[in-house]
Amino acid sequence: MRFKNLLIVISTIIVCLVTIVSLTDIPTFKISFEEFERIIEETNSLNTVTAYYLNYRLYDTIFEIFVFTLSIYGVVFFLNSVPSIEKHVPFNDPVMNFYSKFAFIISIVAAIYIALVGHLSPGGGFVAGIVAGTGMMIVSLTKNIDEIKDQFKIENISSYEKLILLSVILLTIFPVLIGKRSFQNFLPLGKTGRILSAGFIPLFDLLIFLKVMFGSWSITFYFIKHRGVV
Amino acid sequence: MRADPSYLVISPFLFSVAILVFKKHSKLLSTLEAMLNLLLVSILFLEGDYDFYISNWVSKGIHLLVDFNTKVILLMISIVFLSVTLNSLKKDYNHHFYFFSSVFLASTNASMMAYDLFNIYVVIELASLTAYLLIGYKQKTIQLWASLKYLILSSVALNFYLLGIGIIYAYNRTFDISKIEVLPEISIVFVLVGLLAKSGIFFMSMWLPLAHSEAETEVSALLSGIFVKIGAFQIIKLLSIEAFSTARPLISMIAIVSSILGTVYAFSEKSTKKVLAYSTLSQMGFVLSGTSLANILHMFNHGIFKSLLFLTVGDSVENMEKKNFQDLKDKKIPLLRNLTLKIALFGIMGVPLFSGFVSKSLVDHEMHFTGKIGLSIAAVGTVASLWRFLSLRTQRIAKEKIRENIGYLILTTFVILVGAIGTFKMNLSDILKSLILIALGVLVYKIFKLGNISKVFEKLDNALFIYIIFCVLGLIFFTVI
Amino acid sequence: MIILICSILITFIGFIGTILKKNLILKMLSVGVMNTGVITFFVGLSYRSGKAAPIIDKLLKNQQDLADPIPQAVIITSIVIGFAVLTFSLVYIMLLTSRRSTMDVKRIEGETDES
Repeated sequence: MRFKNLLIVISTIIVCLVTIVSLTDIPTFKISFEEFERIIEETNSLNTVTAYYLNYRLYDTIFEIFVFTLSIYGVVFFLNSVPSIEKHVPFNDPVMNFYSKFAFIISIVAAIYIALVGHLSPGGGFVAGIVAGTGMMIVSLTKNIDEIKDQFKIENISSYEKLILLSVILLTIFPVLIGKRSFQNFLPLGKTGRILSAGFIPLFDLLIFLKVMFGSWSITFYFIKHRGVV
Repeated sequence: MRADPSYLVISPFLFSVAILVFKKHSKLLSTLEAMLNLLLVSILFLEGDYDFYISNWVSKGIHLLVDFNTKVILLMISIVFLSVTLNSLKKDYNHHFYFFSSVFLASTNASMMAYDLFNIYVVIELASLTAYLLIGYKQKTIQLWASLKYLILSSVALNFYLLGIGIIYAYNRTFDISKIEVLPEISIVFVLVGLLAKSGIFFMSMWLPLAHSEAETEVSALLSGIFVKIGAFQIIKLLSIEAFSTARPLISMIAIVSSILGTVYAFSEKSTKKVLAYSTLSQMGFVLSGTSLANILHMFNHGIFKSLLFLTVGDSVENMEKKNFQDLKDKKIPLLRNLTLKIALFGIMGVPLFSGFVSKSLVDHEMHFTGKIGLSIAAVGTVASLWRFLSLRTQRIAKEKIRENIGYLILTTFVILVGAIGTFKMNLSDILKSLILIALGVLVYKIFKLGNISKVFEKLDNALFIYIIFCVLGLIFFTVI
Repeated sequence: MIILICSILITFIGFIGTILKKNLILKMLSVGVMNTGVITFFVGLSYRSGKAAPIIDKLLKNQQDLADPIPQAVIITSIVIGFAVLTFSLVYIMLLTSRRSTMDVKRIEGETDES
């Protein structure tokens, strides 16, 4: 047994060392400013990471959205077979009750801002969705399960999710109908630096934001429902 | 301007959302989806090859390639998916199953077309996620464990793959396969770890026997028919390009060892579905032994007859308490199902006039001398391990509904069609050789009895350990050459 | 360069963890560590070609030393996938441990072999 563990460690160290040695002669690519200027010309997105993420490699991002959706459905599908806990004890602390609502508002506002300026400054749909989802989670921690259900209308949220998923797919094939190629940025690029520019990038940012917000929150909701807060 | 074949991905996605919305009609929608997919793939055959960047970003976009090989595999996927869906109609699957399977179809279609290293990663991850969900579908404890084991093994392997493509990116500044020039050995090894773990090769994908044998009937058919082809096809795709071709002997070696060991395990196995799972390990060895069209053809044929085997055998053992083969033997099987089961067996054993014979002989033509011997041993082993299924008895039912057996019949058509057309183009010596191998196989089946072989490789820790051992061996292989 | 070396080290430390840890949750967390290592590797690759974030300021002409946007852009996808897989595996582990009342891999594996 001990011999096997030793073998594991030794062989891992060998592979690790070989990897590090092979990294020593990596060439350094300097990217010229002209290349960045061309990206801006083509996509009108000042944040070039977003330009790749939602324009050049949009095809990857669609699969990513489906990975996220599928994990939500997986969690819901498997947790539904677990009996939900009978007595739900939320955090009952006046300070937390007050500030959770406050934090919720701040996080939603921040999230919308982050989502909308994803193509101009650091940010984007996914980060924004996580921020807003965290805000919703903090509020859910202080409430009863029925109260949460009332407040956020869980049935509606799952239908919004489907709507978002549908509109994401339709947006990718819509260009075919107007004579362009699928996954092509078909909206006008607009003036550089505005929020409404860069074609459909802000639109996708917004959709991903909503998708991730609802998704991460419904994961939290099902965990709270079946496992409790603590 | 032609429309690009991204509709093969978009249409299953649209159907998956539709299934979520119209939950009650999920069976109808899924059938429609499968038929539409078959139609779209058939249309692809009428047109030329596609070699394009999606949404036309030539320098920075994602490269997709649809050549003849891809079309053949896409056809196989659509046939298998259609018959699996038709077979699932008689059972009580709910909309979740059909949702998962449509996303699975989209990701497999996309993975066959992908020609970009990172896109391959994303697509394989999505396909694996659906596979985890489908394996654990009935939520039996053993299914959950099979799924979790696969999840851990697969995540680790894909992290290796990601590290490998990271190193490739560092040298080439691109993920596009057609633009790769410099390839350090270590990156080849890492990429191969990731892909071999997906492709059902002995030692590297030891998640396979448990997952394939414990999953539901339809899920096993999807996994064995389609899912293991994802990794294998990527490997063949990569080995076909110049920079990767140094790894060809390595893969060929592993494949032949896998094809022999798989049959040994299948021969000694008692549990019915596990025999078929080990047989998949051995057949994937045949597939990966080379990179020619013959291997693609064997991939096609294996997808068809193995999913047929899993469907027929799985339907027979589905409601049984015990999983051993001896218990299945006491049971009688409806006539039509037994007939299609036998045709599938002839296919996998390589009997002339059936599809396995054609592709096995063609693969054999491509091999060098030692490879020929290895694959012949594997062919004998295949016959020896699966011969027992021929002894299953038939139960006569007055009227068998065609509707319940339509899934089997579609697959059977292709086993016979490919076999009949191909056999007339083969030499007499091939036919003689295959008959001799089958006779030897029957002899081995009658004479030898194997007890239980230790399943030490299938333990989770050991399966992970094999990854790093493979890395070391691969590095040694590259330094020697 | 130091980032790349450290990221490789993190990756393989995570890998050793996945083998040697017997507890399912710790095994899964080790996979997470490994994933983090790979992500760091990609970020390090970005950093090699420049040190400034690749966000263009309209007022500045000819910014130099910008980082490579591609590895950053693709690795977002990998982060999301890692998140999805981790969430999902936690549910599996939850169900398994509640039925087998153990988190030890050896024991779960042994019981499944017997049945």
